[in-house]
Amino acid sequence: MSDKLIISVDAQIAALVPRFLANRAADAGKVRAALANADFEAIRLTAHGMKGAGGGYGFPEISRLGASMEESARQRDAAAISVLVARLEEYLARIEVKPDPGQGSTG
Amino acid sequence: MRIALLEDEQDQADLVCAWLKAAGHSCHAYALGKDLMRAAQRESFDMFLLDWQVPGMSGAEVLVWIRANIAEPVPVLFVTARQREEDIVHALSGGADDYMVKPLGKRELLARIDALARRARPGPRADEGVLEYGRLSVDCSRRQVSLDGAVVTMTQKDYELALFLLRNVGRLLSRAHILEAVWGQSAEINTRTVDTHVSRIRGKLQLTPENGWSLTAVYQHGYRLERLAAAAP
Repeated sequence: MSDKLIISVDAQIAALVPRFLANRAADAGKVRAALANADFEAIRLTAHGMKGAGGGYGFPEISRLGASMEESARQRDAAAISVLVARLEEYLARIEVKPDPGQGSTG
Repeated sequence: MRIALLEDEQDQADLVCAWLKAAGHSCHAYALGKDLMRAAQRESFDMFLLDWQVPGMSGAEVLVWIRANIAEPVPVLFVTARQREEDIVHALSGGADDYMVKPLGKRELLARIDALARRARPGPRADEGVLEYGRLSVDCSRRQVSLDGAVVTMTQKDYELALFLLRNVGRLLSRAHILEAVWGQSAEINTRTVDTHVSRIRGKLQLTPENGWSLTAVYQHGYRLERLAAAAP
């Protein structure tokens, strides 16, 4: 499970990707802290942001995890959120980014 | 084009601005509606991209403000995660020209922006053929302006400025907008440079009331080139 995932990203936005990924790692920490306080609205908002931006940066998995987490927050399902945040952390740990000039014109 | 973006998610704003810049547009991002409104009072933009859910004033409220306070029909594209039919209807009936649901795709976003721009400013593209403006004609392939058939000698920057003003007849254009369009967003040029060049092309192209044109400075804002109806051929 620790194999690296090589993700090709649009070269036009490659410089933005490290900060985007660092912010998602911070999101995981925020979700864990909110979970400890049963603050499901904070989790929903964080997950909503993940859902919105993940695909555009070339990480549809982050959008999928965000969407699932948002729905779980609506249902106040702490167990499901714990699983999802662990998946997010594992996914982030495996990512290796490769800028792809060919994506510049195709999105 | 000069585009104002209302988006409170920094990652999303950075992404959209990167796409817009790579496509040749300039992007000015605002996290709060009040900041965008303040900018729109002193600056001109070719298009607004509004996120619905932002802190404080919502994108929908900013849209109402834009339609009530900006005289020109600047295109507005809503960009948001809301996708219920009633939300879409609300945005479009409130004055938005188009609507996109997140997550955004780069190609679709740029295609919709181009389509909105074509609808807002119909006519030939600025890089195609010869554009006619009464006694003036602009040959875009040769990058020349002629007055009564005689080519007017001018620098490339003067040509670009003349073309930009002629393509935007009737619009109040801020100095910063003109600077970005002619010299580029990163150019370190004083806005007084704009005044100098405007003055020069006013003389060279005879953009004066007796020739059917009014090129006026608007205090603390910029310039507006207008066609005077009585003198138009």
